[in-house]
Order: sequence, then C-alpha cells, then structure tokens
Amino acid sequence: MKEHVNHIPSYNLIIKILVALLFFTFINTVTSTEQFGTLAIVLSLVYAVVKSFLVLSYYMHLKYESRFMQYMVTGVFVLFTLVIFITFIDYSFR
Amino acid sequence: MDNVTTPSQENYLNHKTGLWSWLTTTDHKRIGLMYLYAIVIFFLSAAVLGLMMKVEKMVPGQTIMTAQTYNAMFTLHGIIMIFIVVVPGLSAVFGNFFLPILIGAKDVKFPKLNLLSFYVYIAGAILGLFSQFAGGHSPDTGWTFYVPYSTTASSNVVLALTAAFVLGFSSILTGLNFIVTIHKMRAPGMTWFRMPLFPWSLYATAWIQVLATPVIGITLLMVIAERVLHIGFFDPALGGDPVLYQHLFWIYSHPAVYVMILPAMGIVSEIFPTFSQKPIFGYGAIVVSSLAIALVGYFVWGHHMFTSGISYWSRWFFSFLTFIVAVPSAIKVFNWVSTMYGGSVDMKPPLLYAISFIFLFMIGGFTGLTLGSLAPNIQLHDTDFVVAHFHYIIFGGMGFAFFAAMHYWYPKIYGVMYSDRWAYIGWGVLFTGFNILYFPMFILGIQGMPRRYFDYLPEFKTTQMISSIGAVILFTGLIIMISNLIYHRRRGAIAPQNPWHGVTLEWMIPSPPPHENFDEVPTITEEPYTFHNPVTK
Repeated sequence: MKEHVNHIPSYNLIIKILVALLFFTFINTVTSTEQFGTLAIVLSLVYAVVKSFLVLSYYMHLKYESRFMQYMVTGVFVLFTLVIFITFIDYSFR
Repeated sequence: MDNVTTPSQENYLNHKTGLWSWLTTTDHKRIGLMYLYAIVIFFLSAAVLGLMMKVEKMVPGQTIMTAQTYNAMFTLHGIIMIFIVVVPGLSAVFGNFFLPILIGAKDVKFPKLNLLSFYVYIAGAILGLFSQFAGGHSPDTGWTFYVPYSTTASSNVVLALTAAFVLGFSSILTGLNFIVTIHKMRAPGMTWFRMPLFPWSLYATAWIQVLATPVIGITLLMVIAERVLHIGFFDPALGGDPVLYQHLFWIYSHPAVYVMILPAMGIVSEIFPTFSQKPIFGYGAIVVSSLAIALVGYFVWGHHMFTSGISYWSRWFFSFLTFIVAVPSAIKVFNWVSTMYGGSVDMKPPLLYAISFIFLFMIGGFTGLTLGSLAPNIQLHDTDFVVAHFHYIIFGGMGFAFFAAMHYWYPKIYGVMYSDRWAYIGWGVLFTGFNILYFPMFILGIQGMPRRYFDYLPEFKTTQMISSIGAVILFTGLIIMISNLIYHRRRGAIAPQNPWHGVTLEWMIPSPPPHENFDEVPTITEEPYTFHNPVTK
C-alpha cells in the first residue's frame, strides 16, 4: 500500500483561504439585505458551495488526498445537490 | 473444514469477567451483545405498548385507556420501535458482532468509537423514555413529529426530538466505523467481490446512515428552534413552510427504511446458501441491487407526501421512482428463491424465518407499490392500510430477519444450541399471529379506517376484533421464541463449530469466537459461498 504522506499547507495559504471565506461571508450578508427575491437563496447557496469547497479542499486537506477519496466526496456532494434541487423544483411547480 | 464439538476454552465471553469488563469493552462482539440486550428489552417494551393499543381497540369505545393516553402510546411505540429498535437493530447487533469476522478482521477499525456509539445510543434511548415522564404531557405527535402540531403541541416534544437527534449520532458513528472497517480491514485476498453479502449490505446501509442521518438531525433542531426561539422555518405565520418539514423529514426517513431493511436482506442472503448447501444465485446481482436500493431509495421520499400539496410533477416523479426501486428488491427475491431451487434444502428454524421474511416482505412490497401509485394513495393515505404495509415491511421484513439471524448465529454467539422443536412452535404461533394481526388492517384501511384513531365506527368492529386477537397470538409467539433462546443459553447442548455446515468465515472459528476472532488473519482465495463438500439431505 502506498505510504500516506501528511501535507501541511503554509500559513500564507491558510490566511488566504481565511480571507476568501470572510469575503464570501461579507458579500453573503450584503446580498441578504438587498431585495433579490428567490435569487437571494440561489446566491446564498452558491456562496455556501464555494466556501465549502475551500474548507474541504484546503482546511480538510481533500486537495491532497487520493483520487478515490475525492471521488467519494464529490459523489456525496452531487447527491445532496440533487436532493436540494428536487426539493426546490417542487416549490417551482406548485 | 471440520466440525469441532468442544467449545473454545478461551473466548470473548470469558476473556475477562465482571460488569466493568463489559461496560468498558472495546470488543465488537461484546458491544454487539450489549446492543442486543438493550434492543430486545426496548422491543418487548414497545411490543407491550402495541399490544395494549390493540386491546384498547378490541371493542368500540374507551376500554383500558383514554384517547390522550392512546396518542402518547402510539407515539412512544413508534419512537422506540423506529429510532431505538429498528434503525440500529441489525447493524448494531449483528453488524457489530459479525462484520469483522466475516471480512477476516480482529475488530472494527475504531473500537473505542464503537463503544462511544453504544453509549450515545443508550443516552438517546434514556432521553426518549425520560421525555415520557418529565413534566407536561407525554409527546403525542407520532414518531413523525409533523409540524405544525409538533411546533405548537403542549406536550413534551422537545425532549423527544432531542432524543431522536442524539440517537442519530450513534447511527452516524456506527455507519462511519463500518465504512472504514470494510475499506481498510478486509483480510488479504478478500477483494470486494469475495466479500460475503451481509457485509455488502452493511456497507450500503452505512452510507445511508452517514449521508441521510444528518438531514434529520438538522430538521429536528429546526423544529426545536421554532418551538423555543420562534424562528420561522415551518410556520407560515413566521415566513416558514410546513411542507418543507415533510420534505426534510422524509429525505432521511425514507432512506432510513432501507437502513432497516438492507441488513435484513444481507442476513437472509447468508442463510439461503447455507441451508441450501449451494452458492448464492446471482451474487453480483444482489450486490449491485443493494447499492441500487441505497441510491434510488434516496430519491423516493416524496411518495409519503402525495396528499401534502406537493406539485403534480413532483408526485409523478416520486411515483415513478418508487416503482423503479421495486426492481432491485424483486431481483433479490428472485435470487433467494433461485438459490434454494435444486439445493439440498434443510428446513431448520433460521431458514423458516428467512422464507417467512420473503413471504411477508413480498406482501409489504406489493402493497407498497399500491401506495406508490398516485390514485390509490389518495384513498389509502393515513389509513390502517399504510400501518399494515409498514408493519409487513418492517416487522415482517426486518423483524423476521432479526429472528432468522438470532436463530442462525445463536450457536456461534453463545456456543450452545436451542431447542428446534420450540423454535418451530414459536415460529408457527408468531407467523400466524402476525398475519391475523396485520392482514385485517389492509381491509380496514381500504374500508376507510384512519390510522392513529382511538375509536372507530361499529362496522369495523369484527375486523378490529380479529386484528386484536392476532396481536395476542403474536405476542404469545414472541414469548415462546425468546424464552426458548433465553432458556437454552445456560442449558443448551454444546454447539459444534459449524452446526449448519456454512462456508463463510464465522464458521471457521470456534463457538463462541475467541477474543480476537482469529489466531492468524485468514487469507481468502476464493469466492464466498463455495461449497466444496455440500451436505446433502
């Protein structure tokens, strides 16, 4: 079996990710105060997805994991996307 | 393989003694047994509640309890049976005990996490019981906790919700443990397609546990937040939507049905080859169908909501997928029956329970398709038909598979045999009582008897009476079956290592198994269920 190598991201990278997360939190807050209607939910979900991607990739080291692990997490992500999509489609057609 | 007729001297039961050694154990087998005892006690308690409800309905009008007590009873019956017995049941008991053995491992990957799962489970179960007695009315929402009633009822709903939330954590931790165990702990040579079918079913189940349970956790927290903090998730007056609750609840709770039934399918997939002395028919098809059920089962939650005001297109979509999910289930049934065909069938108690599983599961499955059709669903929704269907699937399916597993692995777990004669008698009474209890409920449902009603119209009297008599017979069967197992725990004849002539790994080790299962981790060289010297009858 392949030897597992721990990857430690640099402080520089960690801080960049933190800044990006704060930035998206900020614009999410700003967006929620505007009258975007249904689009506000879509935007919030997009921000949440981007932030999750950053946290998973860098803070949880998924970027440095094996392809297999990446596929598994991607599969889970696709599943939840479908579940949310199906739920909200119901609201659109009611 | 030879049959050793002496029990192993040193085994997991006598490896260490004393209560403390059990409470602090990280041995997967002991943890499985602790789950078993807890689950059997809770099961019998909830069965008594069910029996009392049927006694109440034996004749019209109030007899032994008030309407409010009846509401609390069906709620507690549902919460215990679903969250404390059926969801963890097979995975926690037989999964814990046999998964590592079946894949040739000495334990699960995270033994301490396994023990933590058990204590989280016990904490959740105690909270659930506490909610019945701690201040205010007992919860009366039913196990589904539907809003708006659950957000406005004066009964003790928050504690019951918290209990379900905590129990969910136990489920997630067990699922996580099993996924990693199966990925990392398989014996050398045990490729994915050399793995027995029970571990396969546990693998599919574990994924559902890990992915679906958080959804119900968050949903229950949202209900608590709305009750306590008045945050508007589900109350339209606060900007919420009650149908959203049903979406979120069933996004978990329908896959949870597969958490209950998939391990049951895995268990009978172990039993049929052993008692037919023949390789399982369509191993690959059973594996793929397990995964397909886990996947497709994730997308059929809306069939619980056909009358809740969801859109036409959603109803069409969910109805279609409900029919699709029947296909892999049917494939399994075909394979089990084909396994017996041409085999040397030995009708021992485990096989009898496994065949009963097929029969009852088929009735539950077909009536499920009736409910999955849009038009009949409008007529049958929230009637006794649904209750009958559900019990045929869960009790007839999961419950009978549990009893099958108990009779199949009992000699391995305890190293002694039970009485076949009493096992047959127990099965006969149980099976008869089951059908007399639940089948009339299909008829009641078609005639329009609503579920969860304390009283009924005079025209339902005879059918209700028959159903209630069935409940008494069923309970008698349960007592006979369990008494047989308990009695022979101390007095049974010594079990050989391999009483059923099975070929999977648990039959290669002594009964009861040693502390670490294997002296040496086995190397797997062939497919499971390969019978080199089948025993013919």
